[in-house]
Amino acid sequence: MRQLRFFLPLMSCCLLATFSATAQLPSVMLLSQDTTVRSCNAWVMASAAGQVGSNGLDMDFMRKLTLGGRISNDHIDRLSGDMSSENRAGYAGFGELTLMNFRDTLFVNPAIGLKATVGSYYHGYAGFSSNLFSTVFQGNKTSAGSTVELGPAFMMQQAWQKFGLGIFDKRTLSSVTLSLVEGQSYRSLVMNSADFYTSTFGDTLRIAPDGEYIRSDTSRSGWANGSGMGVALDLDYNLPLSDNSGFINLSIRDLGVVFWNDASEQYTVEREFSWTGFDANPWLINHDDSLVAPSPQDSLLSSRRQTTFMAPLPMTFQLRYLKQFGKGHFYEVGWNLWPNRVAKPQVFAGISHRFSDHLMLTARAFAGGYSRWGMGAEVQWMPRGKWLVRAGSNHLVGLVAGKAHGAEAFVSIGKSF
Amino acid sequence: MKRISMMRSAIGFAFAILCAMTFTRCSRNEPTVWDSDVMVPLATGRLTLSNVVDDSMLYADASGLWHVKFERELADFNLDTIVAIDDTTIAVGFELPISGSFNPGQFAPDIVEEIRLNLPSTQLRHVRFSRGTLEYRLISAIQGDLICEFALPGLSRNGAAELIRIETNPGTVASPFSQSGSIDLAGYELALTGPSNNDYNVVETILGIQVDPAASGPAIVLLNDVVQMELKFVEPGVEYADGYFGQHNYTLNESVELDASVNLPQGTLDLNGAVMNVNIRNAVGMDAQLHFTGLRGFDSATGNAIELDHAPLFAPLNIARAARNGSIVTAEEHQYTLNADNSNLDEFMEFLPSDLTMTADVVLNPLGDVSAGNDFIFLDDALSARVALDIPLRIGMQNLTFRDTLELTNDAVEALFNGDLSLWLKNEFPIGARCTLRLLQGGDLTTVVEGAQIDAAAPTTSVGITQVAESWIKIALTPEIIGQVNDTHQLVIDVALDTPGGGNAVGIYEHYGIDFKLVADGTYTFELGQ
Repeated sequence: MRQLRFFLPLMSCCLLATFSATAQLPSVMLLSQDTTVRSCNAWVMASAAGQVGSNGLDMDFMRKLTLGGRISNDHIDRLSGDMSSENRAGYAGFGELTLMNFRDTLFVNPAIGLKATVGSYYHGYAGFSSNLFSTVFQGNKTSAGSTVELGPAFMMQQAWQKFGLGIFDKRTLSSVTLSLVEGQSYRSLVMNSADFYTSTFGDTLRIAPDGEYIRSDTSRSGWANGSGMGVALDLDYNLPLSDNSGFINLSIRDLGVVFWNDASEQYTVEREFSWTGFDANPWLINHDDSLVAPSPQDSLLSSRRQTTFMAPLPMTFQLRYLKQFGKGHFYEVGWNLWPNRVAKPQVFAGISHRFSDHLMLTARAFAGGYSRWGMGAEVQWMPRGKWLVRAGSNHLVGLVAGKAHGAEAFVSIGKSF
Repeated sequence: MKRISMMRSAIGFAFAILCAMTFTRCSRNEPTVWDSDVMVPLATGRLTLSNVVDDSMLYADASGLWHVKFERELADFNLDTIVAIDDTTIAVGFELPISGSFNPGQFAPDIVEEIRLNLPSTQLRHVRFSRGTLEYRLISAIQGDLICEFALPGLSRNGAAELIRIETNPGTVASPFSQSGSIDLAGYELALTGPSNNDYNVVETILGIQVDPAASGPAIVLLNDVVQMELKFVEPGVEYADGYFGQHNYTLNESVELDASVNLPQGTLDLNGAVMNVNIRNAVGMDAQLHFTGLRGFDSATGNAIELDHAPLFAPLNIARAARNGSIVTAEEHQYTLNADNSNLDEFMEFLPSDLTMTADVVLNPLGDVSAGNDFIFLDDALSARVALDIPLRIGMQNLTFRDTLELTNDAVEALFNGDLSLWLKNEFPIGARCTLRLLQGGDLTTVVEGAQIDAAAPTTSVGITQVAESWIKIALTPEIIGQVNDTHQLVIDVALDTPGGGNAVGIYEHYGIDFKLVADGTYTFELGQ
C-alpha cells in the first residue's frame, strides 16, 4: 500500500504531463550484472516524457503561442528572416506505467515474463511555409498587389490511451506488447495549396485553398472517453553484444490504427473565396443598424460530411547501437524516425560513462526530428539494484533558453518487488 | 532503511518540483498577442440618391433625371368642430301619479320623449360616430320586479335599432334599484330627425315598463314613485354628418415644418424647373370660399423670410359643394400651378425655407342653407389644401452644406487597430464634396477628418454622361481616436457640396452613383486564447 501511495500520484503526474518524447530502454538496467535486478518478482516503472521542437520557431515563440504572452515584432521578424521556405514544428509526449513480471513462467519458458502497460500519449505536428508564417504574424501588407502561396500546410494532432499486455524476455528485456487503443481525439489538416491574393490597395482579398480537414467526434472528450477504438503493437528487440559490451536496440512503438466513430467530420476545402468587405448596400437601403458579414466558413468549406474513418497512430521507430570502449566508457549511435509528412529522420550519438554497475551518465547529441539539433544528458541510477531512476533531456538547452528550437525532458522511476 | 527513506523523500521532492513546473508552464493565463500589418477590406457598396432619399420623395422621369417630389397638407380647416356633438346627458323619467298594487304581467303605458340636442349653429339630421360611449343608468323606487325596455329608435348599428332591456329588483325611494351600463358608439348611426322624421337635432326615446310576469307577487307602487333612465354621450366623435351645418367665417394661420422630414442644407442652391401645385379639394357637401392671404417661407436658422408671389393664388376662390350619390362623393377641385414663369418659385425654393406659413380667410356656406338641410361631410375626406412640389434635380450648388449628427452606440470598441481607414470613392455624380467628421464630447469637437475632398465627376457633352472621378480619403484611426469614440456618443458629419464651374447647374440622373470601398490599413493586434 505504501508503494501504491507513492506510485499513484506519480502515475497521475506522468499522465497529465504535456511534455512528450520517445522512450528509450534504460541501458543501465540492460547492462547491469547485478543479479538482484532480474531476480525480483516484478518491476514497476513509471515514465513520462515530452518534447517539442521546430526548425523555424524557437522555444520562446512556441511558449507564448501556446501559453500566452506578447510576441514582439522584432521576434517575429527575426524568426521570419531565419526561416526556410518549408518549416516544421511538432510535439510528442506520454505518461506510462509498466509492469514486468519476473517471477512467473510463460509458455514453459522461464525466460519469458508477462508485461502490462497503461499509458496516455499525445502527438502533434504542423508543417508550414514561411509565407504562411509571414502572412499570419507579419500581415499581408508587404504582399499587397501580389499572390502568395501559403501552402502546402499540414497539421495533425492526436491523443490516445493504450492498455497493453505483452511478453518480454527477462534476459534481454526484449518485448512485444499488444494494446487496446482508446482514441481520445484526432485532427488533421492537409492543405495542398492556398493561393492568397491581396490587391494593391487592400480592397480585395482572395484565397484559393485546396485541402481537407478531418476531426474526430467533438462531443466526446477526456481521458479514455474518446471516440475511437483501435489496436497497437509495440516491439522492443534488444540484442546484447558479446561480453556484455553493449547492445543493439530496435524499437517500434505505436504500430497500429484507430477507427474513429461515425460522428467524425470531414471537410473538403477547395473553393476560392474572395472578400471585398461587408456589403453595405442593405445597410444603406434599409438603414439597418448592423452589417451582416458573409461567412467565410460557409463559403470555404465546400463540402462537409459526417463519416467514420481510420487513421494510423503516429508510429515511432528507433534503431540504437551502444558499444563499450575502454573501461566503463560507451558510445552510441542511433536513428529515430517518425514516419509523417513533417518530421525529418533524427540521428543521434552519445557517450556514456558507467561509474558503477548501478550508475551511468550519458551525453548525447542529435540532429533532425521536428527541431534542428540539440544536445543533452541523462543519468541512470539503480540504487541497490531495486530502484531505477532515470532522468534527462536530449535537448537540454531548450529547457532554459528561449532561442533554442526545441526542448525535451524525460523521467522514469522504477521499483522492483 | 534510512537510506531508502531519504531516497524516497528526494524522489518525492523532485517530482513535486516536476509537477509544479508542469502545471505552471502549461496553464494559459494570458492571451497570445502580436501585431500584424494588415490591409483588409471592411465594406463595399454603391451609394445612389435613392439610397439616401426616401423613395416616396424621389422619382426619375423618362430621361432618367431625378425629381424630388414633396407633398404636404397645407392647412387643417378644422371642419370636425362644425359637426361636433359635445358630451350630453339625457334623463327620461316616469313619475307615477297613482298608487296601488300591480299584478305580474301588467304593462304601464310607453313613455315617448323627444330630446333636442344643444347645437346652436348646426341642424344635424344624421351622424355616424367614429368613437365615444353611451353610458346609461336605470333607477327604480318601485317595490316589485319590473322589466324596463328603453328604446332609442334613432340609434342603430347595421340597421338594428338599439334597445336596452333591464330587469329590476324591488327598490324604495330611500334605496332605489340602480343598474348601469355602456355602449361603444363607434360605428353607430344616430338619426336626429325625431318621430316626425323631418326634424333636426332631436333624439327620440321610448321607455316601456312591465311588471315581471315571472314575479312572485304584485309590484307595490306608492304615489310619486319614479322610474328614471339617464343617458350620457361621452366624448362622441363624428365621422359623418348631414343636415345644415350653418355659415362659418374664420381665418387660418397654419405652419408646416419642412426640415422635420428633410435635412435642409445651408449654402447656395440653384434650382431650375421647379413646379409647385397647390390643390384645393372640397369633398364636403357645403359651399366654401377661400381667400389665401399669404404663403411665406421662413428660414429658422437665419430668421429670414420670403413671400411666394403668384397673384391667382391670392384671389378669392369660390368652391362649389361636392356632389353625392349614395356613398359616392364627387369632390370639387381647383389647382394652382406655380413655376418659374408665373411666380418666384425658383427663388422661393432656393431660399431653402425650413417652414412654410399659410394664412387664409375661409367662409363656409357663404350663401346660407341653399341645400335645404342637405349638407354632408365625411370627416376623413373633407376640405383640403395640399401643396405638391416637383423639383427636377438639375441643380447648381456652391458650398451647399449638410450637417448630420449620428448617435454612436454605447458598445465600447477595443483599440486593437492603429492605422488608417482608407475610403476609396468612384464618383459618377457631377458634384464634389468636402467632408469633415468630428466627435462631439461635452460640447467640445475633436476633428477626425478635416475637409476631405471627394472630386466631382466631370460633365461631358453627352446628356447624363460624366467622366468619373476617383478619390481617396484617409481617416486616422489611432488608439487615441478609438478611445475618444468610446467616450463620445455623437459623430458630427459636415458635407459641403459643389457643382463644377462655381455652381453651374448639372443634372442628377438615375444611373449616377458612388462606388465605395473601405479598407483598413494599419497594425492590428491579434489576441488568441482570451
